[in-house]
Amino acid sequence: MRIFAAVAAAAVLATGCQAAANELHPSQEQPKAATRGALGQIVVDGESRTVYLFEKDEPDESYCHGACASVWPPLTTSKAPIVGAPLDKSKLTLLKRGDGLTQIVYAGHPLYYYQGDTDPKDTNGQEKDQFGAHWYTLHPSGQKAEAEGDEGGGKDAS
Amino acid sequence: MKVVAKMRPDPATTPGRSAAATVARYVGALALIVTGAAHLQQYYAVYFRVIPTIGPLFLVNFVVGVGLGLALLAPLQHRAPEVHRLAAIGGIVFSAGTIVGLAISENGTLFGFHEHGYRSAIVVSLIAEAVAIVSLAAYLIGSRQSASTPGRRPSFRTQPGASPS
Repeated sequence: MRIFAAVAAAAVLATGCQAAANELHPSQEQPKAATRGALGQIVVDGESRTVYLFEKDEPDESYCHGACASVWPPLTTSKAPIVGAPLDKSKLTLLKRGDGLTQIVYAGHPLYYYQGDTDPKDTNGQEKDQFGAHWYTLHPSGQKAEAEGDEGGGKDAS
Repeated sequence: MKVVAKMRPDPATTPGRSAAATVARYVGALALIVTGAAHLQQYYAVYFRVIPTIGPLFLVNFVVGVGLGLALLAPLQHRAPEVHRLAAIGGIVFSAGTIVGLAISENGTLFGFHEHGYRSAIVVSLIAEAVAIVSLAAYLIGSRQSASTPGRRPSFRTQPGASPS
């Protein structure tokens, strides 16, 4: 048992005790825009953490549940978000999920975090092909963001 | 009254009970391996490897589950039976800990991680963990009874009709 405890402790320390995104107790979210290198200006949450759209989703309908929602936690809010320029307030709606959480939707795209982003400025989920479709960051216009010169097609499903 | 010692087989060491303990050990071992395999599947196939802290812990779960399972399957019952008993105790603690971890993440957060729902992999893992706890506890009880008594022990009875000496 000492070995097990030591291995578990080592695993925790090896990951720097980083906490995954917690969408269970949201506050009033304040999505905004931030610049991310070649992606340009994209939508982020109030703490500048990158958020994504899921291509499988339909307008105002999330198809990310179960394991998907564990890896891609929805961006939730306790009440109507506060939105400022350059985001368009008229494009912002809310989606009541099956688990009772209220997810933020922008331009018809339910928004998600990516558990693989350990730094707010990370965009590791960009063009990931997971859970049946690709994931992209999105511009304040509501269009999916792609790096300049990138015709899309996605990276591997890692 | 004359007291005589009469030999009779101990129930704990009868072939049937010994075989039951062995089966319980094997079942517990396989259940631990299934638990570890389910976590490995989630780690690779469902991308849990990207989740901070939880991802590595899923890999640890696989390593520990399979390690304990193999230790229980190893033919050490004659040379080092203590290994089986320690692995069984470890397997019970490991399984209970895994269930507790899941319960915390389902109802709240564990290292900031929240688990969504009870998909098939989670159900399989929960069943395997429950089976491991029950079977390994049965094995420990059976093996302790066997260890605490020799193969045959005297049974003291009062012989009817015997006069006290």
